[in-house]
Amino acid sequence: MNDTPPDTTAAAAATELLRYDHVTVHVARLDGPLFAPLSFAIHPGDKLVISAPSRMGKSPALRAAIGAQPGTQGAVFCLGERVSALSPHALLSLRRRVGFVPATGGLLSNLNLYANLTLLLRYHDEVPQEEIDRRAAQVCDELGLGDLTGRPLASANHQERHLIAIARAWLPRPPLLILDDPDFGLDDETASALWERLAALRAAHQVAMLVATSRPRLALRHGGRHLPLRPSEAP
Amino acid sequence: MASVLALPRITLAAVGARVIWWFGYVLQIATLIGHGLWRLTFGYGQMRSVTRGVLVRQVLFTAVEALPFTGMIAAIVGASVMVQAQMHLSGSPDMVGKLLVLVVIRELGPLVTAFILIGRSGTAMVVEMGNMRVGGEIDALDHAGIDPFEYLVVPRLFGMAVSLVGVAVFFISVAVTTGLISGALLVATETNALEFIDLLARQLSWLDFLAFFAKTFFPGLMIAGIACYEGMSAGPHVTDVPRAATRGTVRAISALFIWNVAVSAMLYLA
Repeated sequence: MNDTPPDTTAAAAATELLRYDHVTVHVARLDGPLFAPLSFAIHPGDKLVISAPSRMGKSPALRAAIGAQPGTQGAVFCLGERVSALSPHALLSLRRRVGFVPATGGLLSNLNLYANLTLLLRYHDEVPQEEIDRRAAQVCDELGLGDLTGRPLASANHQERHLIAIARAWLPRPPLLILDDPDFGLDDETASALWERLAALRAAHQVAMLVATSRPRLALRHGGRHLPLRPSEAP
Repeated sequence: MASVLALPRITLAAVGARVIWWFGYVLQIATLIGHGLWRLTFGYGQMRSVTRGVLVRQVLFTAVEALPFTGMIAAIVGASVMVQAQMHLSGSPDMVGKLLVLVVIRELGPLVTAFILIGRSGTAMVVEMGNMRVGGEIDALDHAGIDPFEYLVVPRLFGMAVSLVGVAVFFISVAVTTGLISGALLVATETNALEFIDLLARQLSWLDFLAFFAKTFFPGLMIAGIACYEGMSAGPHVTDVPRAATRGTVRAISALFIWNVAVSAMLYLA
């Protein structure tokens, strides 16, 4: 799969949400690339699962999609824009249109769960509170989260935090969700339930997903393409 | 002979390297504050409501919640200064007024308030930012298209500066009031409250107001600037956060003293 050239027909290119052309990440400590060059394209409704053992470069591979990974080589096109050509301001603007969920979840410790969930919507769009409440309730329902109003962050367990981080990224309705190890630290049963909810979300909204995981078996149970990261050859 | 010459050369090189490092550090903090001020002044109209919420919370924590403790310290300072003044300058209300202006309004008010805010809020700010960095929260903000500088740093800079001005005014009010009361209790003086306030007002000049602003608003920016810088540049481990907090506190106190001495020197030269 790594060597498969991306589909370059005009029609396909027009609907591409994300495209990697021979992308890899160079790190100083290795004096070479972290993984073999990646090439793929993602269209609306697609799901691509990148798998690799720990510390092989899954997270850097995903961060390259939004221009947040130093040392990225190759060409990354996200939502029609060449990421390496964007100014810092334009990069922030691009990131607002992509739902990126880091492996840690990245929930803010000084906000309660509801404020975390609605942060992006309040920050980027400044939509009226009633609309925020309506959309938050809908997303909570879709992802099986209960009422989060007034709940402190500390009251959420590991699985809930993962789901709230995903819900936060999904609330502004981006066309592409990038999920870094969303089932990290979850047992198989809980992870299966998470993937089930994500599959339902994808089916209902045709949202494209780029996922990195060390457990591709669970991630691929509900469909999607598989792209194992290969170690780079010696420089 | 060579070894005799080597020692001063090594010492000079070490001192020089340290000076260059400090110059670079000051430049970074000044850039951070300058950029923050630019965003505050020219970009305030565009400040998002979420960021304004962070600013309000910062003022609430730094100023409003600090009032009881600050009031207690101010009362002690005001009473102590008045007791000393009455003991050594008894019978000279003009001198007592002058001393209060000199000691409380010009020096102790801004300085002690800044100390309180460094200990109470500056350290908390470093720890909060450091933990956010360790927990990947700052990166997560950036990856979600939220500018961490706009969301985290700008409201803290402005919140701390405004809070320091407000809390210092409160400190001086309490200290002067306590001074007046303790003076009346300790010594049977014929000067009433209105006369005392008039006495104080006559001792104040526009330079005092300028110096007060210089000794509160700008140190507020410095304290928050140093706290944000140290917190956001803390190492990636949990154990790096306390070290960053210590560094931030020590550097904020040093910056405060240097700034206060510089402003006082300019005030007396003016």
